[in-house]
Amino acid sequence: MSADSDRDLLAAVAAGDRRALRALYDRHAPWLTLRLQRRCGDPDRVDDAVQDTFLAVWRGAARWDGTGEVGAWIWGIGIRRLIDSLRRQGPREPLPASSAVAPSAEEAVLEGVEYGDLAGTLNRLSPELRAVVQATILDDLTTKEAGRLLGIPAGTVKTRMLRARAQMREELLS
Amino acid sequence: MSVHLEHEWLERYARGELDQARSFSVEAHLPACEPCRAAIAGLVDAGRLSRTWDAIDLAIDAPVPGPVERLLRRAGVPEPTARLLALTPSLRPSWLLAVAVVLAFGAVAADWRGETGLMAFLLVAPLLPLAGVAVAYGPHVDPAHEVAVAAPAGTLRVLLLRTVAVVVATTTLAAVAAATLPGFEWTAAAWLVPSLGLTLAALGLATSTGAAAACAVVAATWVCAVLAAWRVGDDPLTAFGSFGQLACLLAALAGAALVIARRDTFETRSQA
Amino acid sequence: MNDAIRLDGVTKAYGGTLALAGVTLDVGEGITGLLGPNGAGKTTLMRMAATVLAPSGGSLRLLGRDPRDLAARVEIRRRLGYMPQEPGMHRHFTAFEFVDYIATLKEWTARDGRHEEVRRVLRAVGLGDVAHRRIRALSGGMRRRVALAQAMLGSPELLVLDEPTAGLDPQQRLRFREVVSELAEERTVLLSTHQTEDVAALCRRVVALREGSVTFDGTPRELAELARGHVWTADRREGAALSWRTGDGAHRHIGDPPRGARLVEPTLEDGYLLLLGETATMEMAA
Repeated sequence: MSADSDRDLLAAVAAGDRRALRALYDRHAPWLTLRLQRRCGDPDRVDDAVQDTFLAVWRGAARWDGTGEVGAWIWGIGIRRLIDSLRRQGPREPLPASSAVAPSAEEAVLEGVEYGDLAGTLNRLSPELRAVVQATILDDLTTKEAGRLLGIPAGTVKTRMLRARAQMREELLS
Repeated sequence: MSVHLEHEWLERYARGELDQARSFSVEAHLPACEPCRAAIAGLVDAGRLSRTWDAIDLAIDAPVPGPVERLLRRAGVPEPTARLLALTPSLRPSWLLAVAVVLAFGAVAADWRGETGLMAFLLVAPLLPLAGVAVAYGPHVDPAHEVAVAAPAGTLRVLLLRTVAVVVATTTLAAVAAATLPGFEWTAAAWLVPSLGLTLAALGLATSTGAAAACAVVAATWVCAVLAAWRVGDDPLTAFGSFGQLACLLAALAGAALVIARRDTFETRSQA
Repeated sequence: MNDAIRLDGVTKAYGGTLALAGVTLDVGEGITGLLGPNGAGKTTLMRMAATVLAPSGGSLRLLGRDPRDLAARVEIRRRLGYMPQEPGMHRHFTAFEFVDYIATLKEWTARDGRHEEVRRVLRAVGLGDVAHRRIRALSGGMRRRVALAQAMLGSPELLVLDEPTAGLDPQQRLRFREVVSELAEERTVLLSTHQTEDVAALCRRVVALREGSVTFDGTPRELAELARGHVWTADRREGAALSWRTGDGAHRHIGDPPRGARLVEPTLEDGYLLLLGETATMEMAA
């Protein structure tokens, strides 16, 4: 693997070097695919979003402002492409939030050792609340974007977020 | 980052079997950590990734349709035809804009200067499609013409296709301009037959001289004829009377006959 | 006989001058090289083989059809790839766009299939990575390869390549030879060139033209053999019409032996130069 940094590769992409785009793709497409897959069950839609993401990287590499991680920038493009694609599809069933698996008893014990209670608290959230926490905190989406991703109104995102916060606070303080 | 993720976590994450809290850490860690990204890359279906890359690779190269091509596609023109038309110099937005400007000037002149102004408008309107046809297709506008001649699509077919498109586009603009002319009901049509006559006559002549020269000759003939008719008839609009219209119709028929009879000349080079 | 190109007494006159003075020639499968000095009628013959030019006299058949007939000509063109001597290109097009444009003229109607094919030929000539670049930004060697790529669209039965290696550096020429020799399997390739090395490296058969007539038709080996017994090396320059000083200081002569000369193994170039005779002498003096 070449030792070029993501930034070097992105600069080369901005200059029209498609081998650099290929290198970026090889580095970032796998995790992006998996991560988007956890937010949308339709593999074709995920692959389309990944494709659109790297096309946007190709065309917009010169516009990258140079702050932060290239990986985070790519994620920001990827998740928004996925949301756009979900929005074009129109109203739909909310995603089954079954992507996460409940931890085994052994893991629950280990969690307490590794993370304190936070991990356990997160895992004990209902799938709907967890999805909202994931979208707004981890994925760094706005309430509106989170609503589009999850197929629920923005107001519901807000109320679920409030419920999740209340539940977590209660568990962590008790 | 100095601390990396356990491979077992990555495997379970890739299979979608890792619990939510750990998935959070994995997702927060991956975008910035090259070794862990490399580790997880091996866990994603390589065929799937390479199919997506192929699509990206092709999308990078695929020509992006311009406004004219998108318009034609929306009007139901098949993709390859729309593409061939969109590459016509005289169908570019800039060309059509220039045509519109000329017509607007003509309409304004007709409004101000009465019959003489109207004559100027009627003189110019048929020349616009002719100019468009002159630069529609051929060795002088297509640098790859020699390759194009050896292609099965056929030079004449492409030329006619583009001619029709150019004539339709420019006459539509001319019709819009003519509709703004006040008080001359019959003038709305007085340039239509000359347009057709000049274009077809030029195509017919192009069988022996090439399109650019043919258009120049026809344009010059047209201007001289209109001015001469004015002198003889003592009326600026003499050329657009029934005799003039008939002459244009005959020119159109003669041009069409020439094109059909000598269509072979378009399909090979006449000179070394 | 199902030779792809068959000429029988073909002539071509431009005004008063005769570019081809009655050429009879059958060209079949494999790569056939067409050698000849400028003005020998090479490009005229190539254009005829590409249906771009009609003969003034004689009979021409391409892929078993008569190109004078409109329907037959379209059929020929469907099976033909042509790279002209000076391939003009739309410089503001990208390489992909240009080849895609030609593919449209070659009746590739379905967009996706056409794009796949355009990509295939651009990769085959080693331009996959720069297909998105505008032609004006490509080097001369790359442009030649773009021109070759368009000729390869649809894997045509008959390929007419007019001086495809002109202006290529040795590495590019090598790359070109790889591509063409791969193409030539089960196909007819007519290739005109100034480069005897191309002929030696690629061609199964070589045809030499001079002043509109065929002066040689045989294998590259046979062309070299023409010069057997006529190529000498000596320490001094003396006598012979064709001679030059080689890199190692010896003089190479083609023709009658100078004093103290030793016979050497002839090359294809020697044979070609001997064939050109007077013309070559004049060109070398110029």
